[in-house]
Amino acid sequence: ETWRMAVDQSLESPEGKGVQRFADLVKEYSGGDLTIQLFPFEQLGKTDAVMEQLASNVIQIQSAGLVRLIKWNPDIAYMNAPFMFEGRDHWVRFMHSDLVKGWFDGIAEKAHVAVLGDPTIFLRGPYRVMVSTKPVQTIDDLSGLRLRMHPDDLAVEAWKYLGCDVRIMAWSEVYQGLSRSMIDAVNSPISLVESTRFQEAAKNVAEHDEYWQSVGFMMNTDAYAALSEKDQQALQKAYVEASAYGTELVENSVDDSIKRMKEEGVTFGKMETGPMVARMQQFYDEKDAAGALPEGFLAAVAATRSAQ
Amino acid sequence: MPKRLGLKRLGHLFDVLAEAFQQAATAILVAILALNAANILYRLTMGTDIGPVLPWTMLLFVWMVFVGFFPLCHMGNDVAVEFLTNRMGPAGRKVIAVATDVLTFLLTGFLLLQVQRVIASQVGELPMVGLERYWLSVPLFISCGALMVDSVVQAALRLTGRKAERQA
Amino acid sequence: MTGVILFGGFVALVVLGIPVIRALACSAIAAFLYAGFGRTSFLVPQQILEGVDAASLLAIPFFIMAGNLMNAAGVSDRIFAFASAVVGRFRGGLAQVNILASLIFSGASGSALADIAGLGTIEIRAMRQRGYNADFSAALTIASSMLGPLIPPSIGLIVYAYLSETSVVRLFLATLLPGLLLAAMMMVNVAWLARRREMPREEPASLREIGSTAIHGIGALVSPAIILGAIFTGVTTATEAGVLACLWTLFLGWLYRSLTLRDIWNAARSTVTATAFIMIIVGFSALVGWLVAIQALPQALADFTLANTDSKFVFIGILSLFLLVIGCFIESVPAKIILVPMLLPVLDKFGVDRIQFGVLLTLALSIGIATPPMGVGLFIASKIANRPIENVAAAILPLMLPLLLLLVMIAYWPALTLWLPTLVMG
Ligand code: NA
Ligand code: NA
Repeated sequence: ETWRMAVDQSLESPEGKGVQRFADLVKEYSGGDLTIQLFPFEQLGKTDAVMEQLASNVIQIQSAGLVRLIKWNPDIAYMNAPFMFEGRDHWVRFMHSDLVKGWFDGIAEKAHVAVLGDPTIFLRGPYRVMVSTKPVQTIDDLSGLRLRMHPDDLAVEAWKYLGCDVRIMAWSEVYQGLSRSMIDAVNSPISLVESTRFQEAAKNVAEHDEYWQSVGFMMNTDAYAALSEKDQQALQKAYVEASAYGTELVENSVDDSIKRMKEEGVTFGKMETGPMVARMQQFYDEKDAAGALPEGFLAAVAATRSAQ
Repeated sequence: MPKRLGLKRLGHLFDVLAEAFQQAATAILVAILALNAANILYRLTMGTDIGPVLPWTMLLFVWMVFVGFFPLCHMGNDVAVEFLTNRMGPAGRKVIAVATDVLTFLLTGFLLLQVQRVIASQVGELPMVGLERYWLSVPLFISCGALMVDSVVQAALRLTGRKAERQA
Repeated sequence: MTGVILFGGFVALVVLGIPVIRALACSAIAAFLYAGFGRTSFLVPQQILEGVDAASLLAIPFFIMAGNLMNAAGVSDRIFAFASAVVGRFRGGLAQVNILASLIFSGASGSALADIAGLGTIEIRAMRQRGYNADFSAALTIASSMLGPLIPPSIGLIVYAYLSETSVVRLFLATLLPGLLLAAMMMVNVAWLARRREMPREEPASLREIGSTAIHGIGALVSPAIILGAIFTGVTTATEAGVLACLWTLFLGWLYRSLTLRDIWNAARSTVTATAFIMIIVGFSALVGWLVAIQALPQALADFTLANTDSKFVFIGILSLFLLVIGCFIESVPAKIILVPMLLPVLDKFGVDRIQFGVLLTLALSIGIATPPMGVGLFIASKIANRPIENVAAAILPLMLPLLLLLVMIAYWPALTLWLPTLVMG
């Protein structure tokens, strides 16, 4: 049996290598029963098209940011709620909450798409940064900062609230935009910065940890159910090991990549996020008062704030 | 006699319909240009964008192309290689023209059969626009519907000798 | 077999005289069904949407509109008059003008099709009036439009940079010399053809005439500068620059009192036709691309090549040939999205530079615009010239020489592409 797997990154990226390891391990653990055929980047289409193919079992599994599930439940956007979670551990606990489990279950029922294993163990990031043409450290620096965004309602609204002049721009124009000072800044996971070459045009990188990310392995539930128990276990086992391997690659590559970029004259810093968290608290309160937050969201965030 | 008149009139109706589609697509293009021109000028003078122009531009762009699909085919702007047909004589040209109508019918029919699945699968709101994603495809299906009926009308006109093939 | 239905079916239908969109659509759907995807046929409209819903192609209607407005406002005539004053005196002068005008135009336009649709109308009309062969005029218009994607700005290079994780600026610098070289080689090639075919020459223009056409055409001549200036100063994105080009042309039309509202509406109307034609083809070629990708055809080719040769020389040869063939069937943006990720690992194994490959890829796929069966440029130019596609396709053969020569040079002479970016950026 062969499963088709879409990968939203290049296979040479640390993440992509982790996915490649997953494919190799599945083959090994299933004793050759199950082969994973990889389709990197947008070969089969952009996000929405790939998700539709996943839901209809044309492809059986996909590795991508979990937020892609937003297609079937708008609440999913709040997995990436900016400046809501105190750290990765808090976010992981939130992701294990009944609220999020309910979101996943609803999607599985509606769209026949489910996550494989614990969806938080394959790090993406490992943290998020802003790449900017001028140094950005405090909340005051955000005022009027021309920040590029992809079309995303929550992110746009949030960064506007923080004072940025948010510009919607196609990904393919960002490099040009930065180098010709049409925009000042763009957000990205740190591990992806170097490959975009954005740092050629924007020499300041500041960690802000707006939210935490992982690489989700989303699969078609019918395809999974049709597998033998042995193959299902092979998938689960391969996922756990490949995640550990991929995460290690992501973390190690970041150190090397930062070193290389420092040699190119890029400066690295950390933003003072306290005031941003405080401002965003107000944002979420206002949204809550307007009834615009997912039901039970603030409660789940609060309940997972400290380890039980 | 009334039947003959009816078919001709139907053919004329589709000419008018195609023109209306073409004008609508043109209006969409003008809207796209105006929106983006306004954005550039606003940015030059006020220093920021008027709003999320790109997502709306993409929606309008897709609509323009899909609305333009029916008039494109109806008005003969879907280019053909006429090397063989020019050497065939009127009968051969008629055969190819009717074959084109048949293929058009099958093609549009095939696409229209997918409407239900498309609407069921192309879900999720378009970010910053707020419409469900299948709204992108709606004009494609409208164009296909018009084209499907049109292909029957055109084939009927040809087979009853009311429409002759042009020669390049 | 899927491939045979797809490509064979398409060629057969086109030769029979079925219009190209419908020929492509029917053969693609037939291949799709044959490959066993009948139960998920909703992927057909989905992939059409995928092809059309591409922000990187938005520049197409903008630059076509700018070209149409330039025609309507008489701006293209002015570019043409200037180019004619400068190089018209040589034998085959208007043919040289066709190339020079495209060179000027390419500095503002990122796509070959905008050149054909915009300048092409004037060039072909003028050449025919002066007794040039109509098929040759159309063919030269297509060939010279290849300068569009090579001289920066270039839509194709922006897409490649994204897919290959290379620097856009580096790519732009890498294509500059090959682009200028191509213009020079085309001019030499045309000079030779002009002598053999005894083409007419124009009255030599005096310095004063050159000066006066330059002043007369100043608005047009500075438009590339304005467009590039806007991009380089960050006033607009590369895509929006097309809108700026439209605004600038509207301004010139107002200045020259040569544009009516009806002209503008008609320019938009024909822009819609050209754009819908191109984008529907892009839509169905996305379906072809999906089918090719899911059947892992490029992967098979890569594996086959790796298994059969370890010579870089042979590999680059096979690769170039393969890209030329693909360019004849799949539009260049979907072709890049499918091919680049699959080819990059193989390239790395053979030690081919990614910047060099980007230029090679862009040129090879662009040549597809000029070649049957899917040459969109060929269709448009034939339509403008009102000549049969097969005649124009035959006339383009001798004009392919500089293009193919340049392709070989890019393939086997890395310094041609890599020298300038290394010099500027280290
Ligand atoms: Na030209
Ligand atoms: Na160009």
